[in-house]
Amino acid sequence: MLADWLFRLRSILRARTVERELDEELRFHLDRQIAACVRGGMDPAEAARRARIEFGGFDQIKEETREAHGVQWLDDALSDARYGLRTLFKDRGYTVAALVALGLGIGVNTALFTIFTAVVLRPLAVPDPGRVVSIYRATAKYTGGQFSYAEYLAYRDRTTTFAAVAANFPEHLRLSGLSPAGAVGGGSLFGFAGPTRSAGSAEPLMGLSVSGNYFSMMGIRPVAGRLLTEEDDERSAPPYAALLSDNFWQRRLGRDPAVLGQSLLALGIPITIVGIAPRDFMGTRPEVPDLFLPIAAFQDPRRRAQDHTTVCCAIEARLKPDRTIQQAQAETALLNQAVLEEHPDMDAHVRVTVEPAVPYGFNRHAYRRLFYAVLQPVIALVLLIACANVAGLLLGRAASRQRELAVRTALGAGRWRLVRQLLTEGVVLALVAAAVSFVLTSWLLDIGARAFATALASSGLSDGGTLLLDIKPGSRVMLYTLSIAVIAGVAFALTPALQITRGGVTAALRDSSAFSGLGRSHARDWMVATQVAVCLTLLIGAGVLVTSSLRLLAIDPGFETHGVFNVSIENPAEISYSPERTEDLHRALRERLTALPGVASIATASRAPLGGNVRRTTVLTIGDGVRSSEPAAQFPYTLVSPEYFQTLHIPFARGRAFTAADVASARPVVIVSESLAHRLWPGEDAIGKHLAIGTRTEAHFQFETVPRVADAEVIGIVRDVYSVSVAAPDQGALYLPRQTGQWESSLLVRADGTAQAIARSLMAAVRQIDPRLGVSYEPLEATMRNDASYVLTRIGGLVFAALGAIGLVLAVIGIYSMVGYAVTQQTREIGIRMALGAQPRDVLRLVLGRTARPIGYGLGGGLVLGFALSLLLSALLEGLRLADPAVLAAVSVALGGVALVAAYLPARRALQLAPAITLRAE
Amino acid sequence: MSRRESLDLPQGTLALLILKIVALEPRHGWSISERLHQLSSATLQIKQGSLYPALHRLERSGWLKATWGPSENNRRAKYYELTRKGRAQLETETGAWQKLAAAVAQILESH
Repeated sequence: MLADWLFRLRSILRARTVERELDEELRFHLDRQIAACVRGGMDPAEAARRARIEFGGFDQIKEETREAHGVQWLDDALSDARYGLRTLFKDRGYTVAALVALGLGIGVNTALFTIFTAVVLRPLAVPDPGRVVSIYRATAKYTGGQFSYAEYLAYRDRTTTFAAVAANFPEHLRLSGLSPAGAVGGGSLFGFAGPTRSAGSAEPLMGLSVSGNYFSMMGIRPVAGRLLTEEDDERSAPPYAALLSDNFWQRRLGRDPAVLGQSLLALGIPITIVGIAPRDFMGTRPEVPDLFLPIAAFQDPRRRAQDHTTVCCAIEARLKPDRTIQQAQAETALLNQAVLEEHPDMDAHVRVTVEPAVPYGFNRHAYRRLFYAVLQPVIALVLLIACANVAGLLLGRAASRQRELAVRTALGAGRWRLVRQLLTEGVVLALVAAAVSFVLTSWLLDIGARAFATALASSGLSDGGTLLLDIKPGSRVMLYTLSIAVIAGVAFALTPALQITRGGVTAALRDSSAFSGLGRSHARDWMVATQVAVCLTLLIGAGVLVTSSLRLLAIDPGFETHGVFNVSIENPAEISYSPERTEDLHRALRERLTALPGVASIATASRAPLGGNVRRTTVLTIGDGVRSSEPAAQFPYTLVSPEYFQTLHIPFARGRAFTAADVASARPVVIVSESLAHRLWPGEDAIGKHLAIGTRTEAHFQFETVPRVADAEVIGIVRDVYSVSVAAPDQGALYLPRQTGQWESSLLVRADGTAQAIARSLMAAVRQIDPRLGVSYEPLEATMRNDASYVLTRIGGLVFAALGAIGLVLAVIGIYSMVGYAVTQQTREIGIRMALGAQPRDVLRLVLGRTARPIGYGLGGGLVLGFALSLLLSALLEGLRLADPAVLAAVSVALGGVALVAAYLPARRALQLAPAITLRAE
Repeated sequence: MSRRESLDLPQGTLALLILKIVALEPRHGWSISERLHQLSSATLQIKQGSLYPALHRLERSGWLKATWGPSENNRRAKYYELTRKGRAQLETETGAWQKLAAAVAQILESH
């Protein structure tokens, strides 16, 4: 068996030598035979003749011997491929059109799969990544939740399935102590922009607080210095040891070794840099963190073991070599049960899930679903149009190939042999297209990734950290491209191949007009209909997303965004402000900023509407001094200064706003939204009613103060606003007065005048008060535009529009070439009709009518598919309405029009034909 | 060549004859063809060229090994020799052939 394959392999690889040897061997035989005959007394010429007769046909013997080598099929394929390449070179117009169509189809597929493998399929950058898992807290609605330190300890200390259990948590930090960085902002990304940050303030960066065993669990090595250890995470006083990421070290400090051992401040906490973490190490985070700190820097090691309410820890663990993820799942479920029994006040609905740990911090399954359910079908559609297109082109070329194929059939080539040749040509074409588009796609993706990273950095949208866009196509992508090229090659060549070879030899040789039946072929109609349908589906998807995103921007959010600046000032506690000094800062800011020209009013809030993390709390109604026992839902709350409602122009339905006295007073008051009032006290007047707020032991984030009010009186009811998402108005919201001496991160300034002038005077005023305060600002309109629902629909709309545009280009090429082909095929028929007195209008109707029908079918199919797509999208995206009939109509009419124009241009040629010439042409 | 008493070879027998002929010493194609002619007393009618597909097939099966060497007239020729696998094959096939021939003969000689 092995000898057999070695023999065949040699015949393939050393084909030329094998051929020469065969020739030599046979010639040797002939010469010896002739020599023998001559020696026997024969005349040399006669001897040669005799020897040849006895030997048999020289070339035929050669051919038979070659067949004995068992590689004939490959030989055929290679010669078909060579022949295919020659044909491609000869017929350049066709080749370019086909390459553009296929290249687009394959390129889109390659690009998406490249991104998918680079991001979704990327393994954790640690040794033996398959044994590292993430442990999530999950509810019916949500997976990916995190744990308190006490829970983390429960898993770490009681596990028997894990070799190590480690915790980490992202921290938005501000680092001071490095040489000053420049101002950031002013750029944009797809039209989105983040806040502009003043120069010289502490720079925002992405930190990751980790347990002492985090790096040893991951099993990675430092680039310089050392990694963090258990001792680092047991310190109860600063300075804490910290690491920089290699990415930050290079980007910000040019790999200056002097930073090792340097003392810096992170959020005002003293730290010492002890080492550099490996390049691109991101753990399970979506970005490469800039700084790694021990959890001890945020949670005192002496007390954290008892803390089961502060959310502090994402948990990753490494399985013992002999344990499986299922065993781990079973064990953690038991441990979760135990923890819940020990702390009955915790939310008993949570489950715990164990999943393979992956970078980019997302639930891998969800993104896989998104890829396979939405993106993959969409790009498959684009590839399908491309194939249909090229099939159309091939069919169009059929006429010129007919005679060639017929001659070959007459010479004895079987149908299967001809089909195989046409398929080989198709695959060759697809492979050339794949090679070109693979190179182009990789290049464009690389450029795109760089441009994206640059735009992201200058847009101010990044919270720090390094976004890793390592989207180089690897061998997996190459294999994928190769296989879709082969599949596409066969797919688009098969129909025309079968159709072309269907006619008999005699029919083909008789004359080409025997094939005018192709002009009305069903295959051709199907291709036009498919292209139009797919294109319409994509365009409807784009239309639905774009109109939704526009609608989201056009909503009246219930507050006035125009003329309001959202200014963030870093927490002064980081630069050691006492509560008294913080209160003074409040006063100074209000006085100085209100005095600025153009400024109408300013307010502070724990959060600007639609900006930043939403805080929620539970409420219970108190009626007649008795708390309602119903466990109430959670509602979003905002801590605001008295000027908040006036600054944002949020109207009151009843009651009054907070006053300065409410902030200072010990008598708790609360303002509720209309929807909350209606929900808690349906049909009653909410003013004067009482609420208990923050009634349960709730999990919350570090630095987040949870309001706990036993009895607050409702003093006002405001109109509902969109503060959580632009997709829907809040279903109940609470407003509490800000607390004395406490910093609230958002400063809202209403002012008249140009944005730049106001921004400049705001920054200058803050710098005058204390130059160490870091400030960033953005117009409230920009805050609203950065809302997730808007961003998703907008970006989704862009993607679909781009794919739809590609589809449109393909469809136009396809329809144009097919109608052109049909006209050529019907030349004689048209000639006869015109000779018999048909008017140009009739001829045009005849030609266009045949194309209009499949276009109409395509539009019908596209409408159905497009509607299905909009159903799917609205199930995936919040705030998306189903396809609007106006959008459907507009897109269909536009596409139908473009398709008819694409058909009209070649059809016009039919009119310019003189009857005499067309008849003579045959 | 006259048309006297010539026989066509049954399917597959050519391979057996080739194996037998090269069993004694390595031979090139022409000498195999000559030997075949001699040994069969010119009874067997084989078109000389048809030897070569058979030789190459035997080489591919690993029963023959081919080497290039100098021939009697000092030209390079391709010599075929029996491999160990080929020798085993020759024995099996010879046995099979003899049994078959005996069986056929027995039937033909019966009355």
